[in-house]
Amino acid sequence: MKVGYFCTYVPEELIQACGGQAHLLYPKYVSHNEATSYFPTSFCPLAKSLLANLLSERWKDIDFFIFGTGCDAGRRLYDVFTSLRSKVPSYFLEIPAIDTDQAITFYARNLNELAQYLLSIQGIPSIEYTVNLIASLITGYDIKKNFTDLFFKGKEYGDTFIKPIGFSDKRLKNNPEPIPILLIASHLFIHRIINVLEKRGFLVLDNSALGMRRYIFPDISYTVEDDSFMTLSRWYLKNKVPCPGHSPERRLSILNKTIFELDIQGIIYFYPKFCDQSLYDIAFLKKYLTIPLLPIEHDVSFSSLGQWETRIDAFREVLSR
Amino acid sequence: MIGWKTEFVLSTTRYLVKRKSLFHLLRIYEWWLSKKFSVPNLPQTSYQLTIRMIRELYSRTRPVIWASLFFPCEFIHAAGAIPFYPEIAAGLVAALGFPHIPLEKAEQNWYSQDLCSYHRAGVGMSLLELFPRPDLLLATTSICRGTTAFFQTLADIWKVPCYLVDVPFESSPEALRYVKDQLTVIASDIQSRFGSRFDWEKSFTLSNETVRIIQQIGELRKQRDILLHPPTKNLDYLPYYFQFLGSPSSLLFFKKLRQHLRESREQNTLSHRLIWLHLKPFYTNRLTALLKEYGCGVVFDEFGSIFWEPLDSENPLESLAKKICSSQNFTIPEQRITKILRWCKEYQADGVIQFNQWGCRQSQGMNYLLKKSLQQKGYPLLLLDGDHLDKRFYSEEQLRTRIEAFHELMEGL
Repeated sequence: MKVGYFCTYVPEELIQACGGQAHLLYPKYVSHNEATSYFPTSFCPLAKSLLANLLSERWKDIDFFIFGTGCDAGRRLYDVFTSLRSKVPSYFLEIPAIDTDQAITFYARNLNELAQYLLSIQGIPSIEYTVNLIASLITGYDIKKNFTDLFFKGKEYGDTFIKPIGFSDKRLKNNPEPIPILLIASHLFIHRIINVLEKRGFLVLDNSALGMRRYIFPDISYTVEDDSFMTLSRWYLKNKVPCPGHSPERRLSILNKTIFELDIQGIIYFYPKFCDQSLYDIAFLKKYLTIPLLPIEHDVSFSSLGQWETRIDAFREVLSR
Repeated sequence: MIGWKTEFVLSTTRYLVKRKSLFHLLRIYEWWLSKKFSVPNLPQTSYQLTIRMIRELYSRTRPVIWASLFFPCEFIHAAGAIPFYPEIAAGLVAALGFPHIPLEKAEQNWYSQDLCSYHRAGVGMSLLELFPRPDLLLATTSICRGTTAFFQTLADIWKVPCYLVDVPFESSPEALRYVKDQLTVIASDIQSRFGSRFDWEKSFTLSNETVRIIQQIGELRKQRDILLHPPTKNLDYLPYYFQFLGSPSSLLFFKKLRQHLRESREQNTLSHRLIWLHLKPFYTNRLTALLKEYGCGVVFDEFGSIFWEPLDSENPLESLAKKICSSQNFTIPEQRITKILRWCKEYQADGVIQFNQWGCRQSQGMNYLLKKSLQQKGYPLLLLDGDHLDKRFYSEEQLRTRIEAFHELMEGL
């Protein structure tokens, strides 16, 4: 069974343990044509684009969709989609906005409910599932630990998170002294913006929802004696690199650690227009980070590239000084 | 840009609002008002209660706790603290005619125009240090996730602790226990921080009694010859539905409002009865005049609805947790739409208006579902676009055209 999800707080280990293939869905074909009638102008382009992709059946090979509560637009995406396609199997996962002990316990309970639902669909017995989950956690821990170690050693950069083929290496050979920067972004146009930045002589560390925020888990720990659901809950609420709007102080501390350890010179904040979480985050980071930050806003198209390139070039000049 | 004259006024005001003793002097003014208006009418009652609130907030005789709109005020009154709701106060700033100052201040500090202006104004007023300084912040994540980031920002500006109560969408015993457990932690912290002893009995009794009067007011508004003027006036009373609830002030105010309605029966009833969703523009504008011009009266307001069960002082935190969880009904489409349709029927409404707030994703994101459901049931819905505080998004001609078209639609029904 192919299980699609949109939010980086959804644990893929749980889906795998339930016999599913986990697919983080993000619009490769970015458009909002099919969603225009359902969402207003001043609405998240990612939600619009996801809805357009869902309605146009570009993801028709996905058997089951998991929606989550990261933000208001995410909730409305679920509401509108389920009202239009009530027969498509989908599930709404409550993701706490905080990371207290109570929230971790509550999220563990929600994950258990999701697992029971997925198991009931597939007819997998609970005993088999428990063994699968432990195996999935052991593998998941190794992968996450490995990614995290490599990232902080500066060995995960460019588009290696999303396309580990080595495109970045080729481009970097042409720029022997690239300027290391952090790219903060959502799900849209990640490949393309990394490509643009690398061509302009930057070494890009990817803090997008498809990169660092999905793969890097500082302080992750696990022993087989731990409760599996509490472990997953803790990993995703407390150990993962937080998304904008979640745990701002912990997020700032991880960003500062990244900046210090990887000698980051600047930040490009490539954010979807009307994203409240990003808008608050920019103001917060502008206040506390000591390195230059360039905010670049995008809608559902990449058509402002010319304007962005001018600003990126100016930003590079500032950093070169 | 803020000019030097405005900057001078702001500096002076900032200096004055920090002088606690100055606000104690308002007692004399309050005493004089009580002597001059021995039986105050509705506006005078509201004015006197507002003056008292200002004195209490700025003289800081008790801890000041800020809360988000759907954090139950009864909790703060029971703790013996003074509640302050920055989102409501932002509306007051707009009504007083200077929302552009805090909005500009927020924008200068990177808070985008695309964010909710209630929150931007709250941030701006905090950066300007014009709102009363908080000792603690309490917020729920219910209804809108923007509130979470707003309160995190306030905590960062004022450098005070902030508790976010995470509220699930689901309605279940586990969700209720989760919210109750979070309230237990907050109550315990308030007890140790301020040495408070919670008086649940008093606060809950006042709240329940006030709710009964609000329900009686609702019954009065169902009668065709009883209307509040101007049409959206009830939304000016928002502090009494939220900030003062659980205190004698709210009870007193609604008793006055009930009396006012009983004494003001109309000779000529208006032709169209409307249900009002969300809030309204609080700056000076022509909206209410246009509604009146087209014979429209508002008979019920979503934000004046009672969405919770009577509070139980025997199980105070569970009771408040239930109230908080119930507030999610404003944002779950099926539940919200069911309620709106019930109001339409009970109040014999001819149509529904929602004034969209520019930065409000949760309400605008539901527009399609709302429109579809109301149209299916034969109720016309007018979605007005604009901003409740930021006048830069206001266009009178567009407003007139839309209301005129809506009026024609209702006339044709």
